[in-house]
Amino acid sequence: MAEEKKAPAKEYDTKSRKRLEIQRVTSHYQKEWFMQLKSRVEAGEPLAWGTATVPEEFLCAMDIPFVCNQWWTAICAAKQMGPKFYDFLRTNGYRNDMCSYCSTAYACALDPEPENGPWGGLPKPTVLLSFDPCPIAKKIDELCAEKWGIPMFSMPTTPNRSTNKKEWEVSADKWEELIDPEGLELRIQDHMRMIEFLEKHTGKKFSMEKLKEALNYSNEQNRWYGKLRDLIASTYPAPVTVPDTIGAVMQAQWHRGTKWGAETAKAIYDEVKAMVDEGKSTVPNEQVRMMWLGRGLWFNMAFYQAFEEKYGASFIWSQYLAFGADKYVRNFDGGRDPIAALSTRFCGGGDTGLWYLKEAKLHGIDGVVYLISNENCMNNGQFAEGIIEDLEKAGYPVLVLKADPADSKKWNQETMNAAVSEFLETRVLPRKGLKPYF
Amino acid sequence: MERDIALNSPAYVALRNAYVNREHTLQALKLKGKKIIWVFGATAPEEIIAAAGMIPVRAWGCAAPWTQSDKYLEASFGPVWRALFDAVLNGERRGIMDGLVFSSSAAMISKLGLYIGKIAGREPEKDLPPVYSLPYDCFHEEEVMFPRNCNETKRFAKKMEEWAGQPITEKNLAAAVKLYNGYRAALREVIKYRTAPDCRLTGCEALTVIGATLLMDKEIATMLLKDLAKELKTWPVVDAAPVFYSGSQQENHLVYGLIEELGGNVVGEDHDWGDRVADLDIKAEGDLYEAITYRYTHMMPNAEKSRVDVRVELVPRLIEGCGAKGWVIYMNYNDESFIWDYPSIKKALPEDFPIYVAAKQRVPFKDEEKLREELGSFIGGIRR
Repeated sequence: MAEEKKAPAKEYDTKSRKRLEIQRVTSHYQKEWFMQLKSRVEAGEPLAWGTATVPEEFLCAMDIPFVCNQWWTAICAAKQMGPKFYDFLRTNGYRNDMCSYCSTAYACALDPEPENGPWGGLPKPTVLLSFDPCPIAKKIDELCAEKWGIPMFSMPTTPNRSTNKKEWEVSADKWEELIDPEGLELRIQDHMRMIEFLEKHTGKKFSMEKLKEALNYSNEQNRWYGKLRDLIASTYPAPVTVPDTIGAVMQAQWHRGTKWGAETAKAIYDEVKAMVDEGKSTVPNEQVRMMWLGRGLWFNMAFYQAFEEKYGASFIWSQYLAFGADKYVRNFDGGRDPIAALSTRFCGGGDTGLWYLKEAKLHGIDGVVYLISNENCMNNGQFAEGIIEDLEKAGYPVLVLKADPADSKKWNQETMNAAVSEFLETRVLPRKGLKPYF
Repeated sequence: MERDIALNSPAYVALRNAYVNREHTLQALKLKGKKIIWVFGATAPEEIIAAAGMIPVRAWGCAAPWTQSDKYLEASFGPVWRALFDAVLNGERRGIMDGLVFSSSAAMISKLGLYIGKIAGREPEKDLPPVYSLPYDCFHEEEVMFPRNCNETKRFAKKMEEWAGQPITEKNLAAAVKLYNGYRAALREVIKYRTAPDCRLTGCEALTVIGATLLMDKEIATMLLKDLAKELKTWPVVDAAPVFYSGSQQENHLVYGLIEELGGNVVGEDHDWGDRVADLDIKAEGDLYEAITYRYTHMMPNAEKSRVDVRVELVPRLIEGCGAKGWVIYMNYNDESFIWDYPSIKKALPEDFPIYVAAKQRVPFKDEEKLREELGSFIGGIRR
């Protein structure tokens, strides 16, 4: 296990090498979309702000643009602006070392010069959708809403009494099995209240037809992710790695429910499929296939690539693509209610550890790196120790990195590099009778 | 700090014995042949457990080292939660632990319940008691959440009937409500003597009294509280700087003792082992399940499970009500929900109201010398 110590001044490359054309396309689109969004909001259009678990399809159905907290946090981290924003927390009487993943937006809201934020800063949202079950995240959302002077819809956490453990087996077609009937009914009611709230505070109207269209796009997009995941899993060496696709995958994921989201997912797949057909791989010297558990290391995507040349270690799995592949699709054929279908997404239940095991086996994983935050709640509640024990028992060696995925100030590149290198040299490569290339 | 006057009071001493000798207290209860149900946090209706013929007691942590926590919990679980986790998993108290109820008064408590439930399933050889989690929601609109919370109360009652092997009758439930209302009234009669300026009970003594009653048979606790209340008016006034305490729950005298040693005295607090216990009775009429739900979802809001605006309204009122001249916020590492309330609450207090914030604390103290110096200076400032 490696733990963050006080980090030295940064003297390493944090940006991953872009090796796919689609990365450039989505990066460009992302910035363009954001600039258009700013113009729309400045012209009086509403903007919704919320967490990753907000069912965006509802917002698509109401033509309300949405900015996701986690996306914005990743952008701030990637632009190395995290430390600057967390300092605003400190100067306003808050701690600057707590809840980094959830507090970035509030920290931005405290910036006296918000226009200096990424791409000219975040436009002021019109409504806040608080879907995170964590009570602290709810407080931060409340503070954000107060600071912005906007209304907030807070989604209750409905206990899930379903005993289903393998949610990926039923989530697309038998999603009614993901939650008990009473819980589902309550979540439907809550989503109906959210629609009322949005209609009241944005002036936009909900359309069932548009919701169906959005859910169809969303399903199409995530089916492409499923195909992409399967393609990566079944190809040796893997055609692409986590940093090759994570940005494009997530940029499209934050636009799920739109035509662009579905088309982009297909474009990612097409580019990777062409690589497979041509026998190409971004890590042709792949010796071992690695799984990254936990949040993405947004401020240092280059880290994933740092072990390719010497060790042939290819990080081919992270949760971001796999979530889309296994957990997002909700088919609503046969006259089933799309609101009910969406109400079963992010409803708790399932066994994350079993899912990781299934994915590790599918991808032929040789080693697992598990990012767990020391000071933030991230991953606690997952029963990480049980997950690690199960992975180890199943033959997957696990290295825990205790680090913050959002605040680069605390990252110690040297320590973490050394930890992963040692892990590869002593636990991962020897299991296959392999050695570093040099 | 417990004074001689307290240590010479039969009622106080009886309460103190229960507080100090906690395992022994529970072993004595166990001899009555009833099941002992450990309640984690403050928002699970003990009345229902009692009406089912079992004895609810408040879960408390064990002393370090916390080997089970080191094995299973992420670093972000602070010391209070580690101590509670080990208290269940180290097996030493298994003989006085027949069931575990995890309330939702803190997110970490809910997570402990989840983890212990998972371990019970994975490692049956550990022979852990049955686990139940009660997810009351106090964050959302009353009209939406109250019916849901009432359903949770009824579901909880069914589970307690199952554990007890007997039904909860209306008569038993009414009797339990009456007993607990009487207990809370008696507790309020005692703790009113802790408020400044006419403060006759120190913070440590108050912690002892409140904590003891969480572990005792409520009939006996009520009797002792009534006896103590009669004596308190004759106890000498505590000459110390009165402060209000917010922060990590205090199951022992560690922090309050230090405050008293430095010339201060906690005259009110908002954590689960303090004044919160005595807050709000249950209406003993109409639908009792609704009345019980109302109490446990409307009792004094703690920092962890209530909105910032609620705390902004509450804390200054509590501070004024107990006559505190300063506010101590003491947080163990990663137990810091308070920090998100504090700057807003501060704005609602007079500009020069003295506030001391101790964050990232450990058990035992991380840097006692520094803490002493800072806290001493803060209390000295109030006294001046």
